[in-house]
Amino acid sequence: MITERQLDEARLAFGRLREAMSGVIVGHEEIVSGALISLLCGGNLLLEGVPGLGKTLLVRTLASALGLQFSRIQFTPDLMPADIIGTDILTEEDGKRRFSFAPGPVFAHIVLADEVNRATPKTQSALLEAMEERTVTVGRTTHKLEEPFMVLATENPIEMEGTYPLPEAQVDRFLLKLEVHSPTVNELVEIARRNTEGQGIILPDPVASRDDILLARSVVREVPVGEGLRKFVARLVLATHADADSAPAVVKEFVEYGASPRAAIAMLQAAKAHAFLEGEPNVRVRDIEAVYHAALVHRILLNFRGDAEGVGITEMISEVWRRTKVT
Amino acid sequence: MFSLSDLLVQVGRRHRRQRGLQLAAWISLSLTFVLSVLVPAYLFASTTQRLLVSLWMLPVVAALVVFAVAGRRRIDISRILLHIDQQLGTGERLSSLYEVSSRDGPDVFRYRIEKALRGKPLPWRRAMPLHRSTVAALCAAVLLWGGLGTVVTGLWKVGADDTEISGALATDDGARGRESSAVAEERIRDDQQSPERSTVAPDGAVDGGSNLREAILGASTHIDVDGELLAALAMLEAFVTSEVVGGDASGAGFGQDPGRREQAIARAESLLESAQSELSSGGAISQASRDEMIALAASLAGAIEENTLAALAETPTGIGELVSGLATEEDIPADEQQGISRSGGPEDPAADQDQDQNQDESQLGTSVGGPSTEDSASDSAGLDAAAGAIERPLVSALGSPGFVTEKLGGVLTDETTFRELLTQGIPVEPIYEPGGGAVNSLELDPLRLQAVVEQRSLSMKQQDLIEAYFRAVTQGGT
Repeated sequence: MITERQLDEARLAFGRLREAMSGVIVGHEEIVSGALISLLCGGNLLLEGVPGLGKTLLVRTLASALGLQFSRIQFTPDLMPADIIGTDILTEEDGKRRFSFAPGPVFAHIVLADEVNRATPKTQSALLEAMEERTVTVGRTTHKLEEPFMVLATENPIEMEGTYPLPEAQVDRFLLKLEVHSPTVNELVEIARRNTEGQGIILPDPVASRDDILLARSVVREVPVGEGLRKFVARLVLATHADADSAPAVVKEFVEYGASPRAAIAMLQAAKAHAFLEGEPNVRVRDIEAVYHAALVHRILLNFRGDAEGVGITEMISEVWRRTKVT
Repeated sequence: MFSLSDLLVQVGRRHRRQRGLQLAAWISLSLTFVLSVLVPAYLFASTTQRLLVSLWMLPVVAALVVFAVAGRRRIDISRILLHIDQQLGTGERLSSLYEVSSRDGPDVFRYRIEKALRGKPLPWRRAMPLHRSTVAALCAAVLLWGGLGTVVTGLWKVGADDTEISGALATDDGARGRESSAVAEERIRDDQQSPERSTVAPDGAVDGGSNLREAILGASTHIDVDGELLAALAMLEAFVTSEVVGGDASGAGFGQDPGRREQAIARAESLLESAQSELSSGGAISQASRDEMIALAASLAGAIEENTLAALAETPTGIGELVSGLATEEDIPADEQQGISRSGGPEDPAADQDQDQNQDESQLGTSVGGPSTEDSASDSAGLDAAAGAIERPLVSALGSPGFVTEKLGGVLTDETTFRELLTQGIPVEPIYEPGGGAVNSLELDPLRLQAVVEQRSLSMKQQDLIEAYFRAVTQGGT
């Protein structure tokens, strides 16, 4: 049972966290909010954007503000799974040789998987267990990852040659997918000023602890959602299936596979976190709307015709939202 | 003070009422509409009053039942609360509060939500208005139902009149049948005892005509028609205009005294002109004229009967055939009667109704015997020309030498109006011409009947009934 004091403490901690990130990251409120939501839900975040938009800085700032262990993995075609999860190495201690486990960079609280689509599917799959089960299995030994654990992966939508699109099973394990857009003029001016004046970018000191995050997670899970809204979310997800009666024509025509049940879970979890961050005592429709696109956009697979005609999934799920009534 | 439990009770009650009202409105509107379509189609024209009222009350009963049932059905309160949230813009707090209300113990979120809800008014009733479509359906149903009630009331009255008229006709038919049967038996006995007094055919024809006229006007107690006067008018007019005036048999009827006959004709013409002028001036026939016409008609009838008996006595073969026709009348095959009925048109409901009535009355006529079969014979003879040759024994008898049956002016159709129907030679009144042999023709001046009908402001329904009667008569019924 969450007390009023715990609720207030959790909110204050994340208020400080958001403020600290805003001091470093210019603009990108949606991205910052998405990162915090993923952190509150214990989910993973997939960021898509061209290089140089501050994706890595965002992750580093988050880790710094939380005082958590941060690691960055640059995915390349020759990256091997052992390079991510670690491996058993032969060590000698007191004249005795034995194998001991050398943890890879995945053993951190916040892992930045930079350009995750440049590694081979085999290497990408090395993250699957860590992302979903919060464990890493090397040989016969399963190692538990320490909470809070979160993977923030980035994708580069250009330079698609030599890339390996993430397998559906892995994409589905990302709670949200956010597109990082180019900053506006004012934002760009501010970015330039911060990077060229004074001491440059200074990462924030920790403003929230690991316990604060765990407490906030437990609070978020208790945020109430009306039964009607749960049904609404379910209808939204089902409407992305081509064989659903409630699906719009564009879905029926161009969708091969609709969103999985994970989408409904992610949407409700993210909506709860959004309401928490907004200081609301309950989930509202606008909370669902705020996370709707990010929770669905990477979970819908177009058919051949949809791919050939370049159908936009964002527009498609916007149509689903418009056609699905709350009550 | 905000209270979720109170709110749930009130919201649930209101929703149930609205749902019940909505369903009841549409159900009642649908039923009323269907009934409104069927009533003008005369679906209920032949139904009983109780059934008519029951059908009229059906939409109301159905609406009440639906309202009651809808009020007892389970409701999705979370969905209703979410709807109210959406309408009032409360940030889905009501539905969320309902969700957390089931949690045990104190809950910080419930406390926060209730605190937020207490902060501003919650006009939840505004979020649950009665739908315009429901109101429209309700209003339409009430208006339509009221209109239907007016129609039903009208049909009710007509139905009551029809029932009385039909009852009177049936009573009259029955009484006439019994009387005619007795007369026929007595007549046959008389024939056996004294062949020279074979007055069966003329008597029968007279009785048939009288009975027919009485049947037409038998409802006079209900529609206030002076049947006796009408019969007298018909008799006088027939006497004046028909060939019986100049025939050989007329001399016998007036004791071989042409002067007396001419006086009777002149007197009859005078009375008819007087009656015609009185009627055309919009008034009624005076009591003195009425009495005088009735008296003259009675005397003429006696003279004609005497004349006809004399003529019939000279043609024993005709008597024999007539008697055999009377004897075999009850053996008319059913398919032959149906063939007669079919002449009214199989595809028309009115014709069907007429057929039914015709069949019923044919059966009645068969059961009551002699004189009514003579009516049928005379009438059927007229129908032969109109609907095709349908031979019946009695028709053959009447159509043999010594009997001349008047032909209809044309084919009776469903479009035939009342006036047309009457003016096409519906045989109603027997006319005899002693000098010209046994001439048996039936005639009724429709102007007289129409005048009386119009003067008494009979409804179309009642006129239709009279018309239906004539249809039945011309098709072999009584």
